[in-house]
Amino acid sequence: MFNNLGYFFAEAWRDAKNRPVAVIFSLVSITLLLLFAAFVFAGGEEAQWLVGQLREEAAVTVFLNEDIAGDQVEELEEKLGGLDGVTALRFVSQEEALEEMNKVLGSYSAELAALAGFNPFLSYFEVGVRPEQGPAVARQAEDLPGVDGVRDSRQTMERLSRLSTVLRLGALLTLIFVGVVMMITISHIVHLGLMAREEEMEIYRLLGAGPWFALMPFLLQGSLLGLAGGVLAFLLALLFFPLLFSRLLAALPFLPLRPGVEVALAVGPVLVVTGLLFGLCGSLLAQSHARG
Amino acid sequence: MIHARGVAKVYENGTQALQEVNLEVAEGELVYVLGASGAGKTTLLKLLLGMERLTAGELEVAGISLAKAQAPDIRRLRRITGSVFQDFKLIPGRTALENVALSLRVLGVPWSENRQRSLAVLEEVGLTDRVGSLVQTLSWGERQRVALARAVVREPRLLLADEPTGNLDAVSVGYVAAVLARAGEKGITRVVATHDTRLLDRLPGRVLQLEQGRLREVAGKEWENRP
Repeated sequence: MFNNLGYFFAEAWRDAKNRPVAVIFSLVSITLLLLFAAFVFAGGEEAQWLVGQLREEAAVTVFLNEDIAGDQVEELEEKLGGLDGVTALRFVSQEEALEEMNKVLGSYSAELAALAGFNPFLSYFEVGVRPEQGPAVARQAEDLPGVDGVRDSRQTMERLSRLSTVLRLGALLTLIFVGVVMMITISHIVHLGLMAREEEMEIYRLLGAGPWFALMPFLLQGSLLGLAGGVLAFLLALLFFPLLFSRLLAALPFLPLRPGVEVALAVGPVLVVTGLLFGLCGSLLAQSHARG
Repeated sequence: MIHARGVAKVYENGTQALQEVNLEVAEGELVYVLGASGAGKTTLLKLLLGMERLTAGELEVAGISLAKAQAPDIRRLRRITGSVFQDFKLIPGRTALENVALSLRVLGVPWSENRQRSLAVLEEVGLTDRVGSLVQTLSWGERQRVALARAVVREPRLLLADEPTGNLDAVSVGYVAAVLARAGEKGITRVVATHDTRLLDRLPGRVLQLEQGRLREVAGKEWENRP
């Protein structure tokens, strides 16, 4: 088998050269299908990344009254620290809050501050909590003196997390859908090749070749077609994702999105493996039809 | 090498191609099967190669019982057999060398050795200057010699040739005879179905006659007096 590996590749190439238009059309279709899957998959992956990033932020945020005095802050810190379920506590002053927002919003924040004429942010406590006690801590913190309001970001996180799961599931289903369509496309092109070389395969059999000798070039052809589609889709993702994500970042500067190249690199292996795998399956499907 | 007892072949359309065929062929022997068109020569060779199933009797080739052979047995038989088909069964769009080399590719012979052996055999059949020619551009006789080269290049235990000199000129018949003789020197068993007695003149062997599906031994040079 290995002695003939070069021959099998040459045969796969020869067959592709004999019907270039059909092979090119198939390749273009597979590439576009995989690129479509790449966009959906990137959406799911990015949502997951976003949730992960936001999770790292404080679970409960306790905003303080604007006119709260220094000793009241210390007293509040003590009370918050004593609440059951609190694992960490960090005070963020109005200035620090503005600074943090500056990091996220960049020039927008400065424009906002300039528009308001003053620092619009309140000082707050970032309160780390044990997962199951988040809502209880938030309720108790709300009633403490000097507290302007409480935001329990865990609930938002849970909702975002659920959304991300749905997105990822959608991405997976899209990938399967794309894979099946790809499989049918490849199966069709391989089947045509098999039919065109039916007599040749009969000769192989008369010479004592096993079934795989005749079928191997087609198996390689389908797999390589899928692989090439995956690689091309990956290259296109490398080209388009930076453009898309730079636009997204410009429109949604407060979201901690990853750079497009990073997302493309994360999605790339999935595209290549999906291409190869469904290409192989398409070839096998065609061969099982042919044998039938 | 070949043991046949009461072999019969009836095609689905009811045609009785062979009946009560008994045959013993020893290792290294050369056997000619003579007979007019439709006498059953091709059917006999097809049975020997596992291309057709026998309807009755027992047929054993190289220790493989063809009456109950499964696909792997047939494959094993074909891998030790070299065959020359009446219609050559060469692959168009491929060169003479590629067609011959296919025989060894199937056996997994590495390309360097394969190429060397294929070129040597093509030289043996007088086609050195045609190795790179596509088979469809070759003359009838050249194609026949390519088919013969493909059969012998693997140095099979059994060589089956169906009309290997049909429509060939005297020079080509000479090549075929020489190749068959060399195969004999290597101990290859040869069964040649033919109605061309020029080959028998050049290379003597045991002669059998097939008539209406029945096989009989031809004594001496009785075949010379055939109508």
